[in-house]
Amino acid sequence: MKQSILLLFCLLTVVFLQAQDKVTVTGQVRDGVTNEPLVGVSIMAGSPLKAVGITNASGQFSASVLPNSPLVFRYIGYSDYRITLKDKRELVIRLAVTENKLNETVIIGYQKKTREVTTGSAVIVGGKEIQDVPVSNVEQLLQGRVAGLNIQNNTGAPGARGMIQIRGLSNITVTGSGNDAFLSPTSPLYVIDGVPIDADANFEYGYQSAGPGVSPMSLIPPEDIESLEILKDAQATALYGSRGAYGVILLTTRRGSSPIPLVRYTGNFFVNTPPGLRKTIGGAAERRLRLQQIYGSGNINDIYNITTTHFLADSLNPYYNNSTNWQDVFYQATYNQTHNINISGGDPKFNYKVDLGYYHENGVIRNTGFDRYSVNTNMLYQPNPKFRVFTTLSTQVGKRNKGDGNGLTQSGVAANAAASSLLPGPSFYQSTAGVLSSLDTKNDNKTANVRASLDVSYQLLKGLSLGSSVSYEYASNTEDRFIPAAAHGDFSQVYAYDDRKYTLYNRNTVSYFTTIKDKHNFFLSAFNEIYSKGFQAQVIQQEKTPNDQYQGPLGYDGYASLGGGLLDNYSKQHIASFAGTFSYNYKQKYVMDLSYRMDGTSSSGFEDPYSKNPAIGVRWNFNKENALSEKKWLTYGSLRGSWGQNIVPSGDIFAIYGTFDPRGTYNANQRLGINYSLLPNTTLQPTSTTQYNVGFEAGFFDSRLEVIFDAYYKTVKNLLRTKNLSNITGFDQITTNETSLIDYGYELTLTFRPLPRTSKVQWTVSVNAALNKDILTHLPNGARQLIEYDYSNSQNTLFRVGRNSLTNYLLKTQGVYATDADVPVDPATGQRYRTADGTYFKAGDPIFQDVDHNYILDNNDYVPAGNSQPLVTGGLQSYVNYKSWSLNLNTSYTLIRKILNNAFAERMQFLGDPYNPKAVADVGSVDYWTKDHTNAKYPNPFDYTRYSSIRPYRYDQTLIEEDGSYWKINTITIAYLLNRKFTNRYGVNSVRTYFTCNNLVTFSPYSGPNPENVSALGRDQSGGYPVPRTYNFGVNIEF
Amino acid sequence: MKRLILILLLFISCRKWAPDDLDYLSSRAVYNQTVFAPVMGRTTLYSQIFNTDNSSTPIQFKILNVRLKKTGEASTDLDQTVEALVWKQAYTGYETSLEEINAKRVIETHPIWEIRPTSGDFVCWSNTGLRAQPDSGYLFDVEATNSGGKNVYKDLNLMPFREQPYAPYEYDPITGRQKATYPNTNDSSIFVLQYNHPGISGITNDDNNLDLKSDSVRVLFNKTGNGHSVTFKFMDKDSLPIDPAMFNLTPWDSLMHGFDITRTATGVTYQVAYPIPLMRFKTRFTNGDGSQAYVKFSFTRVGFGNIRQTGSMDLSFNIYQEGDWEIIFYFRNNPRFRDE
Repeated sequence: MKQSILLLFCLLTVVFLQAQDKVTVTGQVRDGVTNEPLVGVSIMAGSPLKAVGITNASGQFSASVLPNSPLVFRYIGYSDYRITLKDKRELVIRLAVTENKLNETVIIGYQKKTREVTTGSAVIVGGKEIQDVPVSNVEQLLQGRVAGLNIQNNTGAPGARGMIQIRGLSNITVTGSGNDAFLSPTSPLYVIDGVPIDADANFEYGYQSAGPGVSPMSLIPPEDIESLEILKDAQATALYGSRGAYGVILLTTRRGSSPIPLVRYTGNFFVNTPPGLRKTIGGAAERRLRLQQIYGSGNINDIYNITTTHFLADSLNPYYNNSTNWQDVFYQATYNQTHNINISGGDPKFNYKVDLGYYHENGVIRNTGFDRYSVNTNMLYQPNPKFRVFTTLSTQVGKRNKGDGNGLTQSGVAANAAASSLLPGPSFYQSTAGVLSSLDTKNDNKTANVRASLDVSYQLLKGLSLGSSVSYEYASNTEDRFIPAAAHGDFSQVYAYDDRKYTLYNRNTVSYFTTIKDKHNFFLSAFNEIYSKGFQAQVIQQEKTPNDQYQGPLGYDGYASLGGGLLDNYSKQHIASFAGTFSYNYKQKYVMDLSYRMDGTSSSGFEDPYSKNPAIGVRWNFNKENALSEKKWLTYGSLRGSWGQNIVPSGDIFAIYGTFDPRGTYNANQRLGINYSLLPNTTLQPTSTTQYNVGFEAGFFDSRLEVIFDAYYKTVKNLLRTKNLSNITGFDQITTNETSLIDYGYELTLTFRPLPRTSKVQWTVSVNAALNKDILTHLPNGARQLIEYDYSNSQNTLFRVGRNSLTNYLLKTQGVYATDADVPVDPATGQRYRTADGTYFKAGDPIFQDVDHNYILDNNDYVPAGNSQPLVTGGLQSYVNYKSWSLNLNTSYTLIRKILNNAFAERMQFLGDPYNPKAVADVGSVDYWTKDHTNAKYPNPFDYTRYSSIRPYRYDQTLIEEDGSYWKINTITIAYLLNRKFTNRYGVNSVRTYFTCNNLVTFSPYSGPNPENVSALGRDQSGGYPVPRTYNFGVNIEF
Repeated sequence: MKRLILILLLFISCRKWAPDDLDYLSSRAVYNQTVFAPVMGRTTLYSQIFNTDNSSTPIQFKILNVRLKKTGEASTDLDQTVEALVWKQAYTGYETSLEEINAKRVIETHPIWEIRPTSGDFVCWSNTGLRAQPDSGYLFDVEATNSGGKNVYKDLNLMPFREQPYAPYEYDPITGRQKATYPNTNDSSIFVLQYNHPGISGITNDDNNLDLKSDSVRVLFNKTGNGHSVTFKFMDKDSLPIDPAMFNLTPWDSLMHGFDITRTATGVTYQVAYPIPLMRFKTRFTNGDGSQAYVKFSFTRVGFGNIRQTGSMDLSFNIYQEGDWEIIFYFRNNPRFRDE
């Protein structure tokens, strides 16, 4: 049927054209780099241009044209190729990939546009750029590629995700404390083939998240990605408004485009190696150091205590005569693989794709890992230009082994990897519970995800079309954990968690497009959108199974059952939105976009559930002005500006309606009572961002130099914060929208192509940088300042209006007292500077600034210290291609950011208790105070008798606040394309092999192992999961 | 160029749209103590009395509007300055000469009633020039400022006590009359004057062969000149001097942090630095918390039944006023020094 239509079409064309005395041209169109035949390339001729033919499955074409007529070969994603026919009738055309950002097709507000008529700020990353690196989460490969997209791969845990922000901070909610202080993530909204996905799912509750903790982004095989598009400003994200306030990332999966089915296999075989771990003193040296320290104290009781501390005294006992490398017990190099088969085919009328993926990664921490099984399909059916159906069906299973950690951190491993080297290595007999728990905890954690979508559109009249899109996503997370008795205080534990989540989404569109006099282009569209989301989780937790072999099923017992049941994070949410958009452009020179959107969410207060979100964008393509259109040096150039508002629903129904609690029975009647902890706030608003954006884009010298510059000013309003209430209200707290902040900054992307297009070597270098500053502008009750005291390690956070939103609030360390005489003395009393408990400072102690000069170190001496958020982020990419070889380099950097080196402080603190069998940090490289070396950077770590008062290595000081700037070589890929003639002999279309090194090296002034492997609040936790270095060998085979 | 201007404009305007980064001064920051009754003649520090309620530090403090409480009329008494000894280096208790101690202190001029400008602490420098209780003293206001605003704390009250040159002090701090106990609450004409007594242990009363009670010994502080010495004297019930050598176990060299010890049959004199103790700091010359000097005189003798007895007498005291002081232990019942 298809063929006959095509034939008919060709015949008609031929008949029509032959009437004008034409010649027939034949030939083939191939990709200029890969030499692959290109299917469906339009051949156009005449003036104005008319389509005269199209290439077939093998890239062949045949067209009848007027002699001497100029021919244009046009294909999406490639530069137009122009040729004027002379005598030649057989042509081989090689198209070059478009390297001109202006001609990229962008999708904004569910419509495709060329960049030329886009008023918003958007960046496209091609799927090819990120496909040679096997990672569990494709998001981390975007690092450094897009100006303004700040990605910190701060965990190496397989299947987890790092931190991602578009244009700076959008939230200041910190949950948890100490090392587990967790900044609520503000991930952009992901839209996968038109279906919005919540990437923060499973991570809402910080480090305490239950369940397998597999990010939805980890379930997408990178091989299936055609392109990623990052929408940054309010105009671009306007029509994704109901959750687009933090930016939007559009992910397009591969489509079928070849009439002959293509089978593409990608395999990766990679080795993950643990990065450099922390240096530790082992064996006899450790014992010697400890004894020296105790003798040095001169306290007879302490010296006597050596005899009662067996691991110090009993050096001849084999139990204590060891030099165990504890980190080695937990960390390992692993061998991993991925396989992906992508089958696709079809033509513009009907095409399909099936992608089968398998990913297997063992974590560099033993007993952790991630496996992914995925089947993603899509199908497009467009029997005529008026009617179009697109469906997708994706199923993914992620299987994640967390050991005894929580998915993001491995505090159990950290605690045990920091054990004294004198202790014997792990064995079951030893029953060192921590080790057994880390290594023998059995995990069976699964995330299963099914997503189906259907997108139908029909063109009623010319320019007027109707469309509807429905998607349903269902995810189920289960976690089954069994801790053997030996690892859990002689009683085994069974823990089972499961949750389910669904999202139903529907969008209906009417749109109209018209052009008047070939100059004025109008586009008008209206749509409505409905979300319905639900979530429910439950837990069973039982202890004391009869033995380790009996892991269930378990009966109920009030004694052994340790709670569980339904968890209180139940949620159900509805969003209904109505939106309209109007676009106008004059000769594609002056462009204007207007949109208006109303979003009603069930998580807004019922008094005013609808938020109104307008957006406007304008663009001026000044290269089309007469004065500039002839200039050779200017390829394109435009100025654009936009303003708009977006929201993210952030409340929950409990904050709006309050809570009733069951209170048992009275007279056999069930009682319900008001829960007085949270006062309902009926006017709760969703978090909204308002953003101004000014952009400049230009290409010079035939696009060999391209510049994109953006400046923005973003206001994040209505941030939720729970504040305490006066007790006269009867309630404890209320959640309000009184917090807000602004982000402003600049983004610059430069692309160079130093060598001419005709050169055999093609080289593209792209550099980008983004500077972002955030300023807190409002706090609850109009307060100027709010201090979030941290009661576990005193690393307080200061929120002060007018300065960066998250400020470390620490004691300022100004060096080390070289001698006792350097300690200041209160002139009135003669008292030396002392701690609040009256311990005087002396030589070797850190100099904590006495801010209020009262000669007492107290809470008034905290100062606003560094900003935990980076100021500048960006990256540099280079791509070199020579014949069949290519070299791809991706680097990223983060500048001016403060990190708290808690892991270092913790290890130095271990020295403050020589009787505690903890690892002894290698102090040889630390510049610390001794009697002979008084001019030191770090205080004396060995003065353990005064340790608990002075706490020289306390967490809450600027001594451990370091600059976390770094420049990281993310990936280097060397690829080689095997000779096609050779591979074709074996029926293989193409074979490409490549070698990749991921996370190669990081250059940083930071003293810890990895300045990136820190929490979003810039704290280097010892429990952090190290980011492995990966060496990969991969192969692409196309049949 | 156009771009440059645009960028510049945007940069300036962005910062302008944001509120200024100002300090925070809580309106609920308060003084925990508003009535100050220091004793004149010694340096008193009121520390950690301002609760900042998480305000940004440092805060600038200023005393304003000093006036008499009784009449409300303005007073300049608190503007008087005194020459005060201030510490430059820490006192350790191991100094080996007066010069070494004095090298750690210098004389500075300070207002009598000084507020520390960044902490809000008050220092009452050693002086005698203020209206003492029972006068109701002075009222003053304190202004606390930082870039976040200004708080004024009104009507803080300074009502100093008259000078008490030493402690324990047996005179009433307000009336100056010797303290007394009134056994009959209805009759103020019958009273028993109070005296200071040392701690007594293991000393036998020579008169009745019983243990000597603490209240059998009075401690009298007597200033004899304007030098800087302390002399310990001992008197028996007839007011005759007891030879200090009788306290034969006393480590006279390390009894006081004093120098140039002169031992005679009537007393032991030390050249010392004032005040005594120099500061609140535990040394071998002080009591457990370092707040008072501590002296202990002891002797040994063969007691009844050939048992060796050690008698001791100790005293914790302060002397604030520089001078030649005598500390006289007046035994109203003689101790028994002789062997049985």
